[in-house]
Amino acid sequence: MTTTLESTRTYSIVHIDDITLGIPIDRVREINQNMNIVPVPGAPRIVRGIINLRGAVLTVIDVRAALRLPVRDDLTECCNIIVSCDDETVALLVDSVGNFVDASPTDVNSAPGNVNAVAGEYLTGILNRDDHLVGIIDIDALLLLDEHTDATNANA
Amino acid sequence: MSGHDEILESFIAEATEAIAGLDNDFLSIEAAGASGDAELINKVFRNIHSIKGSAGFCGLNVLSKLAHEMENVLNLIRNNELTPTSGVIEVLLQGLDVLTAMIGDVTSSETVDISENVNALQAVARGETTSPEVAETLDRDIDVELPDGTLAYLMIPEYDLVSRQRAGHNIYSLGIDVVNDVEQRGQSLIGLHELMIANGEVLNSYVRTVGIGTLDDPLPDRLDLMVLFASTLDPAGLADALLLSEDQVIRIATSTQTVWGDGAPTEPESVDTPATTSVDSTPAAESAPSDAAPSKAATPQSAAKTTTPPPAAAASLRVNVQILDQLMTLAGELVLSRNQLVQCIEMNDPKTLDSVASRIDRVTADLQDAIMRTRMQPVGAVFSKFPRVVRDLGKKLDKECDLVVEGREVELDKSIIEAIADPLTHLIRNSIDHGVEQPADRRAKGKPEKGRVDLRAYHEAGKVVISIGDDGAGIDGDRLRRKAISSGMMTETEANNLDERDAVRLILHPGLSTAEQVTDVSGRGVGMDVVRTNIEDLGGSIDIDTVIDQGTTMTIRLPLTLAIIPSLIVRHGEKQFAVPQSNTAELIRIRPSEVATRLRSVKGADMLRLRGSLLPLVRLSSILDEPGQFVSQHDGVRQPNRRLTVADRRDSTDTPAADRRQADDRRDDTNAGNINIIVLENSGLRFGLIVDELHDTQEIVVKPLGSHLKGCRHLAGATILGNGDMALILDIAGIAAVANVTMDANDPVDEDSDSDQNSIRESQSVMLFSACPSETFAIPLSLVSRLERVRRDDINVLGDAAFMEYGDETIPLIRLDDYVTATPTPSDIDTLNLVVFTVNQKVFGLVAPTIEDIRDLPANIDTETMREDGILGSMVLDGRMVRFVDMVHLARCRQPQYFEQSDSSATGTNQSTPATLVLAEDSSFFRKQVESFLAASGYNVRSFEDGALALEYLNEHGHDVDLLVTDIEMPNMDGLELARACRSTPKLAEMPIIALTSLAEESDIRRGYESGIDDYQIKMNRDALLAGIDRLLNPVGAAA
Repeated sequence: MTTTLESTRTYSIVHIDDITLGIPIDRVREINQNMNIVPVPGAPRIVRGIINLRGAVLTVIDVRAALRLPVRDDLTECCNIIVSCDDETVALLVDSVGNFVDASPTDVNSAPGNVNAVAGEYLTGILNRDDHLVGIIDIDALLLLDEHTDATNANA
Repeated sequence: MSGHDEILESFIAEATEAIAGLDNDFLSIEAAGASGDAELINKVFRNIHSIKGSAGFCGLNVLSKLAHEMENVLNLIRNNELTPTSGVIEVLLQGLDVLTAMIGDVTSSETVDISENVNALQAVARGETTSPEVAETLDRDIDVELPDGTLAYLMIPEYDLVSRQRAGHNIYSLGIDVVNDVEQRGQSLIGLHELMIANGEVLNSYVRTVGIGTLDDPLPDRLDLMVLFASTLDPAGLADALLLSEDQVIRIATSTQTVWGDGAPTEPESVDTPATTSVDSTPAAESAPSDAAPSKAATPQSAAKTTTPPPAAAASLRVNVQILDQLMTLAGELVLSRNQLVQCIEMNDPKTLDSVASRIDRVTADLQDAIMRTRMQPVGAVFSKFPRVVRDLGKKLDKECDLVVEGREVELDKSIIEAIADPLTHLIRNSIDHGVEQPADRRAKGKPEKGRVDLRAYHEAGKVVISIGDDGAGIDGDRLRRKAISSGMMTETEANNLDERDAVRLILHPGLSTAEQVTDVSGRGVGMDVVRTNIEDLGGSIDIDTVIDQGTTMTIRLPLTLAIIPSLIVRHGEKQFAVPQSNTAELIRIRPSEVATRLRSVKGADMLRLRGSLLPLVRLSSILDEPGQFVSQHDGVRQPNRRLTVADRRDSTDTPAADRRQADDRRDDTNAGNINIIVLENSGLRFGLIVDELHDTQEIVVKPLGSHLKGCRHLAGATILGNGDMALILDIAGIAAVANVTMDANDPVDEDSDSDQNSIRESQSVMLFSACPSETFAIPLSLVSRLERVRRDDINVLGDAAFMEYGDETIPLIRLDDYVTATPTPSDIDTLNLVVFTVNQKVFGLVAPTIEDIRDLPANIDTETMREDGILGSMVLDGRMVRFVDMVHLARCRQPQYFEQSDSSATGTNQSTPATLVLAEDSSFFRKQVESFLAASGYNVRSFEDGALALEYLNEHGHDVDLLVTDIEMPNMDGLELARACRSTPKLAEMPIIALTSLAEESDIRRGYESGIDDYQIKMNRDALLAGIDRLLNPVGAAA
């Protein structure tokens, strides 16, 4: 990551229902449509299952589940965004993938309490683009949803 | 990475290699002594020399200095100027330890204090004879204390003091006032120093600077110089020589002389506390600076302890060039195959596709194999450190011990080699600490004083076996039992029910250790369970063989590699799972008809009856049944049903409807109603896992799961199967933990079975079979020749009687319901079991529709309740009535003509009066049985409940008794005692004795013959017993 604060960053736009989210492009390794997801019994709620990515077994995080949206049964249109996180690679399951957008840090506003039903705690900021808001996903916060916080939240 | 780092890195790699194994070489040199192996010494010398050179080049001066001193000593040994005694080698080994530590952490090596080692090495090089104790004194620093208790000097190595004393020097503390004694007398300090050197050796000195002000202050009126001095002169002579007054010379006696000095004055009262020396009070100590209190320097660090985790040198791996070449070749072939594949797809030519596929298949397999081999390392890498461990530990514990190593060349995966080092070290230390006894004890036991530890590695059945055996004291199972009881791990009954092997295995449980006294070497009971866990984590197992006073052998079985494990693929619902084969003990399929007898519920937990013990069952569905959206709808509905079914089965299966409903529940008709159970073993736990379906076994490559799935204890990873599907790998230990399978649940005691003393002592192996679930019959296993599965069509029926071709003869078949009250064999069963048995040398077949189990049953059989011809008796087993079939009676009824001759020969013993037999047997069932068939054969029988009663009768009527038939295990007086008593009574000495036994072991039989028993017969084998009696009553010679 060589981007400095002043330089513009590119975000990959993904959609979940009518929510538009941005993922920093430097975290994205690839996008695929491998929907051959094997469910893992006993896994945390946000884990949809595992996929085989050219011999490596990756955990698939259902972004819908992470954002507390109803999960989809039919995955035919969905996409996996393969992102790197610490020393691990995980797949983020989203509805569809859009374009890339460039934005300078000044375009990114701090995230309000929630944006389009997405809790602000999973967003690093908000980008105003073409009359709609793009929530920049905080991947690390999203992936940190471990079982403990998951359980507390689920009870709430 | 900077250039310097690279140089350092290569230095570390080179030095690590050069230093590896040197400790063993030193030990060899020590063992060879004066007649040393020149080549070996040369090799060691060269290695140390090259370390010295490279270290100097890298600017590692301290390292280089130490290597230099070691090299000097080695050079002397090489030139035969120094004999490599134990003391010399000790010093070298210590140097090596520090050297190794410094190489492991070069960055801080410059700060390591090597002065002790250097001094010791120099001393050795000077030819000062040393002994092992010297080495200790090198490590130890002492304070020199003046009579008033103040510390006079900075600490100096004890060695310095002691070695001077040993050479006959006296140690003095000189108190010199530089101002008054030197300056005022017109002398110079240099002159004083020269005087000192001429008369002895300065060991340490310091100037009391407290009284000195700055340059502006007037000169102080005195300046004290304290000198620790060694000289051969007496105090008066020294004072003269140094131009000092006698009271300035204080002689110091150090207590340490007693540790190893041989002629020096001793002060025995302080032998054990050599850390301080006290000043002898011979001369007055008035002028000695009494307020001298130098700061007590912190104990100089032992260099070996200053290591921080070493740099990444360990992450590299040396690979044989041949393997690397082979990898290159294979990679080339893979590229060619890829090109062919691409071409083939472009051309759309399905014909060549096959050949390309098979080529890729072969190349991939070879590639995998070659890459696996790069990871293979000889176990010698680990083994090489053990000679040192054995030597050091042996010295520490005063035990002499040889280590015999075999199989260094056996290769194991690198990761396993690394992980096995600690457990092996622990086991070796245990062998010496707990196994091998003190020399005196060994002598008393008639063993050589020197113990022996065998370390072997070899291949067996696709695994690598490492065994550590000692010829020591062995492990006392009873002691472990007592420990287990006292620690509350199990009750007394449970502990006593453990067989010897299981009792010894208790040592592998947390909190149990055999050491009655905890030593710092091993003990504390935290070792062996950790060893076991470590080994099992590697997919291995550990076994213990021990014989008291002969030794213990620990056998570790390890997979060759961790990356690829053979696994059993099972299906559950729509998903596939892999079960590591190293955990799999056996596979069991329970048919619906067996459910009633094999499965049961104990306190709400499912259990499987397996060879007389209860095995806890865990349903995979309940392990996977987690709330979550990923359990398929289909499963979600089905699981509660199944659970009820399994739990209720025992009670409900009496009605055929239950079976049918159960079958309907199954999606897969081919397996309708069958329950598939995998018997799993892990960490001493044994349990059965119920799965939907068993598939094949595959070699799977383990892929780790992501961090989000770390909480899934029941999963060990994932794998990609041959068809591209993914399967999750089950973690057996995790499942056991999740399902809360405990040792107690695995208790082999069957709570239903009657357990009076008699039944525990004596049991009988029987085979259980049934025609319908409510009727169970038992036959003694000893009578069964073999079991056959036959088709109903193969049975020929002639009139009422059934026959079957068996081998080249036709054997009569016995249907139970023809002779005793029993349900006829259901006509809808196509295949039947046939129990083949032999009576009177004639072969019979008993039709047994369903074989249920083979069990050891107690002999307390009720001979009254179910009395009828063809039934010997009955007993209640697991709430069911089991009837014992009289096979001989059935055979007689079936083919009376077979028995006519034998009956006449038995009855008509060619004697005018029938022979009188005495029968001693405690079990009323057996007594009645034997009595009845002996009587039926025409003998007079007197029977007694135990040996004492029988002996009483024999003593009175001995002359009328022709033969004694006795059981071995009996209360009051057992069979062996009875036999001995008879043999020592003159009138009974010649009486033939036959012993009856249910299980005869070679050793039992030998003991029996020694007690005077003439023949052994298996209980219930009527014909053999009758033949034996006949043989003894009518010896061939006498009959003729």
